[in-house]
Amino acid sequence: MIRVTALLATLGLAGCHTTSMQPAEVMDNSPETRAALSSQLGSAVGRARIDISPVDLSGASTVSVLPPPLGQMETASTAMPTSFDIMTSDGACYAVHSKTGEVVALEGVACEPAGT
Amino acid sequence: MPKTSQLALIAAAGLVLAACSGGGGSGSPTPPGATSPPGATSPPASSPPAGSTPTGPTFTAGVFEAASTFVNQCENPRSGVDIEGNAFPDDPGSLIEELFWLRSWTDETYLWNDEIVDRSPYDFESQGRVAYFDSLRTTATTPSGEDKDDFHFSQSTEEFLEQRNAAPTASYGARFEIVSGSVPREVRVVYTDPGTPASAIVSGLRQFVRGASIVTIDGFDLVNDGSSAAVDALNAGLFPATSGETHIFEVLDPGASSTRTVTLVSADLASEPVNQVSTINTPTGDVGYIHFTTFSPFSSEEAIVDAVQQLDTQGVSDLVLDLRYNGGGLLAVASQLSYMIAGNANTNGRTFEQLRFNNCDNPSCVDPIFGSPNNPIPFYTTGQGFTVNNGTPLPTLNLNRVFILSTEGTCSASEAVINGLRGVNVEVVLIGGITCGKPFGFFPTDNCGETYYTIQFQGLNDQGFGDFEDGFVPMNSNFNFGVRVPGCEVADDFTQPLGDPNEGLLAAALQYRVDGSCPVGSPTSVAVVPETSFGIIRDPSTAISAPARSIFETNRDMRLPE
Repeated sequence: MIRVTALLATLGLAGCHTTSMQPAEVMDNSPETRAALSSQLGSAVGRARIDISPVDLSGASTVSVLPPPLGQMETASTAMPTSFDIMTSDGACYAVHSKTGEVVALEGVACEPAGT
Repeated sequence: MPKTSQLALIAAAGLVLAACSGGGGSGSPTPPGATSPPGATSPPASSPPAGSTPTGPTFTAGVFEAASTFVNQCENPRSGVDIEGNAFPDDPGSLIEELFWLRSWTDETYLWNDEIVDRSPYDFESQGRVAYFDSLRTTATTPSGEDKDDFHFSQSTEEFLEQRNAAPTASYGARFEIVSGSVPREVRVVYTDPGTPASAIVSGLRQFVRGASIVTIDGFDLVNDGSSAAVDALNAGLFPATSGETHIFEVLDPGASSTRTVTLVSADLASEPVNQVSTINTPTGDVGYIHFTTFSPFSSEEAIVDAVQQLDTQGVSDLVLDLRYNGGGLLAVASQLSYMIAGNANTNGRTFEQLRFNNCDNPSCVDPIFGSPNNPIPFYTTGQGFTVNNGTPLPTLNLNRVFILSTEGTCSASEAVINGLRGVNVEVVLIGGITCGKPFGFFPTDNCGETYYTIQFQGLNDQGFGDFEDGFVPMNSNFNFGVRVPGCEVADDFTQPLGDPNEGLLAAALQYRVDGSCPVGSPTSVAVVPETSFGIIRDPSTAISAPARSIFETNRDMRLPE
C-alpha cells in the first residue's frame, strides 16, 4: 500500500476533497479486487487483518471495512463498519476515510468516475 | 473460559425458573471489604506497604494517575502477534503496574466509578489481577434485590480472540433449553434453524420439533444417568465437537405418549439471525411475524432488512416481533430495526439511543473511553455497510404499535429496541415474560493478556430514559419491579411451533391486538435460558457465554452421590 497523505500536498490533493479528485466507483467485485482492498485498508483502521463487507462492490462508491467480530458477551455493541469513499484522480484510485479524511492510494483496484 | 464461567454455567442451568431478570451474578469472588455500601469512604491515604517494590507506584486513596501511565506494563509480556495479526503492545513491567492500571482504568471508565471502594493494589498482590479486578465494581443492588452490576468479568485475551474469530461450529441447527442440568435432567428443543439437519423432514416427520424432550442420547439416559460416562456421552451428543458426527436421540414430542428415534449428523453451521418471517391473515388485516434470534453476526443487518422488506411488500398492518430468545448484539442493527418498524414520521430527528458514561451523557461532551464526541445513535434509515450497502434506503412498516414477544432471554440490544421505540412514543406491547434488564454495555479491553469487561455505558432513549436494569415486564405481571409495559404475561409455550397462531405468546399477541385483552388464566411466565448447539450459550441475565458442553460438567458434582 502506498500512503499518499504526505504526497498529496505536492500533488495538490491535500484535504481529500479537492477539485482534482472526483467520486468514483469500483469497477468489479472480483476476488482480486476484494483482496487488494483488504490488504491496503487495514492500516487505515489500525488492524493487521480486516474483512471487507460482503456486499457486491461492482459500482460501489463506498467500501465498508467490517469491525472485528463481536465477542460472545458483547450484547450491546456500538461497533460499526468504517466507510471509505472511492475517489479518482488522473486515472488513479483512492479510498478516502469518510471520517478522518485519510487517503489511501489503491493498487490493483480498478475504478471509474461515478456515473460513467 | 471466562473466570466467572463456572458460576455463569451454574446460573445458565439453574436460572431457568428464576423469577427475576438480571439474576445470576457475575461469579466474581467476594473481595475483601466488598460488602461496603456504595459511596463508602475510601481507606485513608497511605504509602506503599512495607515490603512493596521500592520503585513501584505509590498508592494514595482517591488519587489516580492516568491509566496510560501503566497500560501494557506487564508482569509477563507477550511477544509477536495475536491470531488477528496485530502485534502485542506489551512492555516488561510488573503485576503491581497491572493492578494500578486496572485501578486507574476503572476510575476513568467504569460507569459507577464513584461507588467503588478504593483499595490499594498492594493488598492484592498475592491474589492477582483478576481478584483485584473483581473488587473494582459497585456492590449496590437494584430494586429487585439483584446486583446492580451483574456483568463484571474477564477472560484471557487469547480465549477472547479465539471465540470472536471462531468459524461456524459443528451442530445440528437446534437450540436447546437445559431446563435441569442435574439429575433428574430435562433438556428440550427450543427451535431449529431452517435448512439444517435438525429441521430436516425424514419419513414425513421433522427431526426435532419444538418442545421435544430429549430422553436418551446414544443409549445413555439423559434424565437419570449420573455416571461420568453418561455425562461425557450426553455432552458429546448434544454439542458435537466436529462436523460429520452421527448421534442417535430418543425424543418425546409434545403431546406424544411414546418416544421416537432420531438420528442426526452434525454439520458446520452458523446461526440464522432471522429464523422465520411470515404473514398471518386475520379478519382485521394481515399481521407480520418475525422470529429474530440475534443481533450479533454482521449478517443480521441483511437478514432483518430482507424480512421487513418481505412484510412491507405484503402490506402488513401490524407486526409481532419475536425476540424471546434474542440476547442482543449490534446496537446499529437494533436502531435500523426500530426505524423500519416506526418509519420516518416517528423517528425523524429523534435519538434511538444516547450513551451515558460516568462523566458524560449528552452529545456535547466527550466519552472517557475514546475521547470522542458522545454523538447519539440515531434511527438509522439506511444500510450501514455490515451486509447491506452503505446508504441503501431501508424499508419501513410505518407502525405506531408493535407487539414484542419476550422472555428473560430478551436482552440488551433487544431491550434497546423496546426502549428506543418507547422513546419516540411508539406503543410497545410486551407479550411473554420479563426481559433480562441490561441497559448497559462495555468495550472489552485487553491489558497484558487479560480482557476485562467492566460496565462503561448505559443507553438512554429519546426521552432520556434507560433505567430498566430490572427489565421490562408486561403490565399484568405480579412482579413488583421492572418497567411496566402494556401487554400480557404469558408462559413460553413449547407445545406449538414458533410462528403458529396457536402458539401461546403469538396467540396472546393476536388476541390483544383485537380487543386489548390478555388470555384468561395466563400462567406465570417461565423464564427461559436457552442453550444452543451452535457452541454458544447465552446466559442473558449476565451476558456471559461459555462452551455449551460445560453445562453437565459443571453440574457433575451435584449429581453424583456423596
